[in-house]
Amino acid sequence: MAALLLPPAPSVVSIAVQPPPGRSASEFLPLVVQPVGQAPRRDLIRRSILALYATGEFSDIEAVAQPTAGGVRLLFETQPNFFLSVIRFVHSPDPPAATELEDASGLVIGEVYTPAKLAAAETKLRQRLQTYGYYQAAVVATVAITPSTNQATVSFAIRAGALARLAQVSFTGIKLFTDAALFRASKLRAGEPLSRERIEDAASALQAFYAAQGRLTANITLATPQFHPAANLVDLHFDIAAGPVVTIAAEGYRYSAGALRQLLPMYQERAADTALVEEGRGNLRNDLQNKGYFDATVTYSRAQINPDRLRILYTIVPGPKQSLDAVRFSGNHYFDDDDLAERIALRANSPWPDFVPGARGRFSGSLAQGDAEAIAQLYRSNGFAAVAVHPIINNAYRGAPNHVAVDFQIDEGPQTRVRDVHLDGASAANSAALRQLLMTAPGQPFAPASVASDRNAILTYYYNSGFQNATCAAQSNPAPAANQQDVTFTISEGAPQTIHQVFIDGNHYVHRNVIAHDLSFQPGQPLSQMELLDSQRQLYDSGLFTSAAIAPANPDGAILNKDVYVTVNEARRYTFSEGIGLQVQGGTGGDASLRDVLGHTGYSPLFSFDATRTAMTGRDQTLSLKSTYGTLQKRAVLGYDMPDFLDRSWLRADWTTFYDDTFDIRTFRAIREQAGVQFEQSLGSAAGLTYTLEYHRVRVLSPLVAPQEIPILSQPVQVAELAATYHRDHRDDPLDTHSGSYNSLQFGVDQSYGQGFADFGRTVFQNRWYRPLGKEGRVVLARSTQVGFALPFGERSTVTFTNPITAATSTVHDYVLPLPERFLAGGADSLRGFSINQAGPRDPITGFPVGGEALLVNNLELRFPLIGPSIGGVVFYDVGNVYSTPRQLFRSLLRWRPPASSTGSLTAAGPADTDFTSHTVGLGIRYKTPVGPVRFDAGFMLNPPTFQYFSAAPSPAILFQRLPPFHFFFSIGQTF
Amino acid sequence: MTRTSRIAALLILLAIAAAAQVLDRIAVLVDGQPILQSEIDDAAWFARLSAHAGCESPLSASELQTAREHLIDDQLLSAARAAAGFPAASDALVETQLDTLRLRAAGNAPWRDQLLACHLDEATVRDLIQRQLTLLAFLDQHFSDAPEAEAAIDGYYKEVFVPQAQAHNLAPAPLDDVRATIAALLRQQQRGSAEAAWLKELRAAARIEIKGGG
Repeated sequence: MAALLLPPAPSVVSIAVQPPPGRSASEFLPLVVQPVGQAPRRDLIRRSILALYATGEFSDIEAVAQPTAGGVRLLFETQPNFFLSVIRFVHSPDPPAATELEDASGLVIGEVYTPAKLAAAETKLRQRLQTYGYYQAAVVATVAITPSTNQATVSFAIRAGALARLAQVSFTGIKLFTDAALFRASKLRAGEPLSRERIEDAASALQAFYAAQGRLTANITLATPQFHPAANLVDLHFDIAAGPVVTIAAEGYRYSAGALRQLLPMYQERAADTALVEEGRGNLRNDLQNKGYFDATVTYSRAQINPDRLRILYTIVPGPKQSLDAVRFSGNHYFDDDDLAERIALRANSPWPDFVPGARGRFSGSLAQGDAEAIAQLYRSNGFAAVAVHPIINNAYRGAPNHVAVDFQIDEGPQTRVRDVHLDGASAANSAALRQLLMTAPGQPFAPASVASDRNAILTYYYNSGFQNATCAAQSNPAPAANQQDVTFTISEGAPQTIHQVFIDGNHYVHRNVIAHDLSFQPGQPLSQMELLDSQRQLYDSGLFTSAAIAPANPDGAILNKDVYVTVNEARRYTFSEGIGLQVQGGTGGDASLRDVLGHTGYSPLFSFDATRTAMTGRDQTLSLKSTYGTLQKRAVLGYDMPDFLDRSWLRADWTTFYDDTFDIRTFRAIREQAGVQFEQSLGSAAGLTYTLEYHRVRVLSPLVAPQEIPILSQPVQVAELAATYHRDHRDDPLDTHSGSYNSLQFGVDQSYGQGFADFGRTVFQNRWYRPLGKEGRVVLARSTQVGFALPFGERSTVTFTNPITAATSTVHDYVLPLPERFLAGGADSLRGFSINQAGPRDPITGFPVGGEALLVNNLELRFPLIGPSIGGVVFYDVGNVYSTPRQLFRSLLRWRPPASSTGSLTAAGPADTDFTSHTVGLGIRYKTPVGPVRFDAGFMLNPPTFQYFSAAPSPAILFQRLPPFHFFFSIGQTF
Repeated sequence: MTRTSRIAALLILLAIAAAAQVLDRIAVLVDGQPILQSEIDDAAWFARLSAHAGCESPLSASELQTAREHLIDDQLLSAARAAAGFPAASDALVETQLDTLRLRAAGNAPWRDQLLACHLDEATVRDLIQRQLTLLAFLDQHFSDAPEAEAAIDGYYKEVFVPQAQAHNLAPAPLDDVRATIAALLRQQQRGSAEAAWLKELRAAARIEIKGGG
């Protein structure tokens, strides 16, 4: 058959692709494989359509040929896909939370929107609301398409309706109790609204009811609730298998009932399956081993005594009480003993008494084997593939029975090192960056685990650089020289994905710029999942949003240049909180009698009200009001917080003004009004500078000081302060520190505007230091030292003192610091040998504390665990005082008692030299709570001072009173 | 340019001679995977070719619809096959089947004429044959033979085979002689309904969108 002669087919003169809005046709033309200048071929057109569809940007594509001069114009006509950018819920109840509803809908930000997905989402939301008791919920979805940006905004209007109410509850199965009794045990009430939480509580209550009868294996199953739409009522039905009464006992070692409850999980889990019983066996054995019974064995048996009684018996053979005296290593050259000791679980005994858990050390044969393997693993990960580690156990160390020593004998073998590392398939730029990340490098020890870890690091690098389809295979081969390996990473980079546009939605009050400021990615940059997650976290941490979602649009599409959606849900701008409490404080007033110098414990109800408004002016700025009201303190603080001040991420400004009416020292009641601004400059993650400009006015009311001091000290004082503070915080946990340090240094200059008051400079230095002790670091030695000086200058004042007995007068011409500006100390958070603010110089006539110009507080604490992980103990030693002048601080450092305290008369009119350094020892208990440790401290001052005061009745006399040496404190948080 | 390509180009020329013409488009989406109109056309022509039905007349709407539904089923089965990791039919098997078709056409030249008449080319036919053979093998494995229950074989023998033989005045062969044949027959019957049920299940779980004009 002859070849078919055909006229020449028309050529394709030009090719065009209709791009989706916001994109250029040039992104898609390379995907068309039909060449210009040739006749259109069906297979090439088919491949072109499939390639265009695979980008994910189109919902429909047609290839159309339009006749034109010289041939045909090939046009790919398209319909764009729209991608979910915002998912909103309107009038939804809570619970469930909006995030749960979004999850239940099955819709994901960035994925393609289809009407079918929307309909399915409505159904799923109704089903989810049903599980929360909203059986008659109506869910209506609406979608708004933005054609210019391919975005679809979905809103679900939810009318939840009333919660269904409980009609009746029925019980079937092996119940052993009447329905009425079970109904009472469930704590349900007929007619009550039935939320999911309520149903779960009822099931838990029934479980607890049976557990209280000893029926730990009771099975409570809730059938699908029966809903009656007409009345919005629900019937519940529980199927019950009561199970036998389970008794649990231990023989061979005496455990209290409480200890068994703590060690055996069956009581907490209210079940007695094999896994739990086995876990209990392990807990008992570990407990015995911690007590020194290293060879303890624990077995258990389950016996069905009768159909209704199951007995679980733990049989314990504790063995002799032993002590692990020594753990040693031999044959190790590459690692020293300390390096190896950190890797093992065995612990030699400690000097603690026997009742302290672990005092006899920690040992078992299986632990020793495990430690040998851990040491071997350490060597293998450093290139010693042929290492052998054998634990040699000596059960009669130094001839003493029940004294154990373990000697790990190590045969290291040769070390294999890496000769060469190849990165096949990586571009030159990426190769250079990758080599910085790899642990595997020429000359380094060879370890398969390191190679695997490096492979993951390579893939992570690529994923975070936009190469979402990168692959990496790792292989190692022996090098020609002995004990050397060559490592090859074979990489397929794939094409990088980049960010096309960034769309921000969901904000109504917060400016777009504020959101954009927290984003660490820009259009044109590689699409990095890590950057998206970091930005999402940054937005959430700003406090302006209840949720923030950042996702690429069309994540599964083959297109490389992807839009990114940033969708936020703004938090409520206004928050209010109120509280009521009780303030308890020693050294307070109430009785203005001069005989009550030390005051007594004051109680006051305390009411608090706080209000906050965020997103001020659409920015990340917050206006807040904090107020408390009680008889001991009335305070209101109005603040305006401006992070990123002047658009500088390292600068923060806080404007505050406050009013404070406090009666917390015996000497006076003070009303303080203050306004100021504080700038915080971040110097890295751990350090910062704070600059403060503050103006405050203090009025002292009803001062209980010498009448001669009243003219000065009762006058209102106005002080303007300019201060700078440097702080550096390297503590591991500010709430409950175990290691690290904290330092701060403050310099300030204060100008007083009250008549007769001096200006002064102030400096306060604080150093805190925490050091864990022992291998496990559970004991912490902590120290805090605070030193402060006030250096007056400017106007001196003349103060005249009159001896109330002799009427002799004396005049002092010196600087007078305003009473409220002086240093005060004493109390739970400073010197625990004094009540609150009772330390330091006292008025020679009234005996009340007046504060001083210098401060030294040194607290030393030994913090240790007492019972379990939650209860700890403290032994402390506090040293220091408030001193009249800085010079007196240095003169009085070694003074055990003030020089004038023992004299029986006031020979000199005027304040006596009462400066000395107090020493207090004490004990404390700490109980860990989620908000920090609750603490109770008992302090005993070794050298309590005696102070003098004037008593007019029954006859004028100078009297002396000794400060009580014992003080007790109860508060929250560590002392420092 | 190959002869086949020129023929295909001629067809396209004829199609577009007068005005703008749609050369190809997405006809169906099955779980987001497109089936093009050209694929449906190819499948319909291949059905005619396989049935020796002649390709002179244009494809009817019902032929196209049938081809479309078969392609939808094929797509669902292909997804199940890929998920199960079942391998594609070998090239040798495909060539054997192709040879069968060539032989049936009585030669290479008539075979090429048949292809031309049915608007097909050998590459397309090869792809269609491979897909067919792969899916058949996958279905065979998915419904791998379970031994027929003895009761079912006995029942068929007594209630169907023996009466039919007697109705034709034939002595019915002993059960043991026909047991295998009866078992194969019963399996085929059950297989057909099982396949239909599975496809129904796959369709119910899938998102199938027929595009306008499809």
